[in-house]
Amino acid sequence: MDEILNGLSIILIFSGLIFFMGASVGLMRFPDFYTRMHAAGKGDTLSTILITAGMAVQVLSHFDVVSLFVAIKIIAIAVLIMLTSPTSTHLLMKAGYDDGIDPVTSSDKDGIIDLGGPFIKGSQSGDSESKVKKKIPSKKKSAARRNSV
Amino acid sequence: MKVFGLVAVFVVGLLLLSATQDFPSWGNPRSAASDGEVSSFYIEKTEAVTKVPNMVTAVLADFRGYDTMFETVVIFIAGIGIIAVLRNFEGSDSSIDYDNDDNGAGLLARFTCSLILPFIQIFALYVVAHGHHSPGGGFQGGVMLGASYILLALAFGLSKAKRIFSERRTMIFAVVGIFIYVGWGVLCLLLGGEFLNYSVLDSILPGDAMMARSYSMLVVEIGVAFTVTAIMFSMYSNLSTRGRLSKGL
Amino acid sequence: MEIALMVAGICLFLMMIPIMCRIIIGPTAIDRIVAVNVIGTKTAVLLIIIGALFDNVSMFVDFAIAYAALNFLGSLAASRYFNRTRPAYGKRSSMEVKGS
Repeated sequence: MDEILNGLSIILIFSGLIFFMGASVGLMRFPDFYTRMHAAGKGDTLSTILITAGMAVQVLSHFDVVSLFVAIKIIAIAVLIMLTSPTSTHLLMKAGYDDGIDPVTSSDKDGIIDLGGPFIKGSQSGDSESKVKKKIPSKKKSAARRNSV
Repeated sequence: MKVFGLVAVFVVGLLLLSATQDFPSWGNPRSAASDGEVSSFYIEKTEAVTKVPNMVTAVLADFRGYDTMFETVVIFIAGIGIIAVLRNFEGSDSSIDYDNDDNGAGLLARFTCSLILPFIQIFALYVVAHGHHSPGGGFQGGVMLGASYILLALAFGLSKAKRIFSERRTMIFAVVGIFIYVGWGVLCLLLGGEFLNYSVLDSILPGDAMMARSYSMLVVEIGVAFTVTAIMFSMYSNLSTRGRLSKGL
Repeated sequence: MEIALMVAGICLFLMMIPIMCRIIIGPTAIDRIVAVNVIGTKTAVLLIIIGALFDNVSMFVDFAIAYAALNFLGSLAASRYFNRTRPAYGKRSSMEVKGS
């Protein structure tokens, strides 16, 4: 029984580490703010839940009352992060959008800002201009949104 | 200027790193900190004398209670100082517009905060009350409790938090905390012991003299938590609104 | 089991290094706050793993709860600060001329 629980906890912890590696690499290499947000929000939350679940299983592997309460506390951490991490990602995303951080689009070739990622300016072909007309949040719109929220 | 700052940081960091060589090695039983008479008394006798397994709390609230009392007073003075420097009384009465004030950080943040706020507050009370057995105590629990009110102010707007924890109530809480601490010491004085010598309180508390010390630590920690909670929230509300206490961050 | 936990903790720490680089180079302030937020949640997890390595999870889990709760407070405060008070993106003024 002990070996099964230990193995289960190791599997959970290392799958969480794989997801966290995705979050880490994505946060480093994605080209603009919104995609980085995507990597951070999803990968971070899922990996935290997986690793905390693995630790709870590992604590429960030698079962007594103290370890039961400790496992409940660890599950409480998982629930807390599951609630708060997507909310904070959403709030930071909204703050960035209201501040007018532009996404990297393929349509406005001149408007591409080098946001620090490995995004190559010259790789766009010129005839993709008519495809997508990306809406850029103007200052008036963001002010209106700010008042309405 | 940036380069100069960087060089200064590196030089100071190298100095500090070179100074760490003079430290006693990790876990050395003959180092100055653990070899003294006082330390060995704390380590050997704390649990026997006070029935508190967490040595840090016992040293903080019992053996050096006089010190902790004035630490609490220092926190109170810091809060008073921030109010004295920042508080702007002009126009604060008429311009508070409770309907047109900021109404928080949006629906999602409000919902999440209403879910996790009770959890944080219960955990903070647990930290205060369970400081004898696990890491914690009045300062830590008070900071968490104050942070829960700051979270309320951030999510629902400062005006709503002010309706729950108004400025007058904040100051009353801060004073009550110090009053609990000092009053407990004066109670010891009235019962014939020294100031903050909790063991004379066994005539009014259940249990023997050691349990009286344990209970007294709990009372003292509650006093510290009152003050720290109130001062934390007062500092936040003054600093984030530049003393106007309306339309904050 | 201890070796697995040790490896997990070290991997967790090593994967924090690119996020720290993002804190340093992040072009906007909110990038930095997102990276700090990720490191904060992972620090709570790392505290539990360290507690398991020291055979004292019941003590370390309290720190982890406090850290996870206060981390949300930080990111909420930062988002409100950048939402209402000041822009996070310094280059915005030049971009706006081009965009509109």
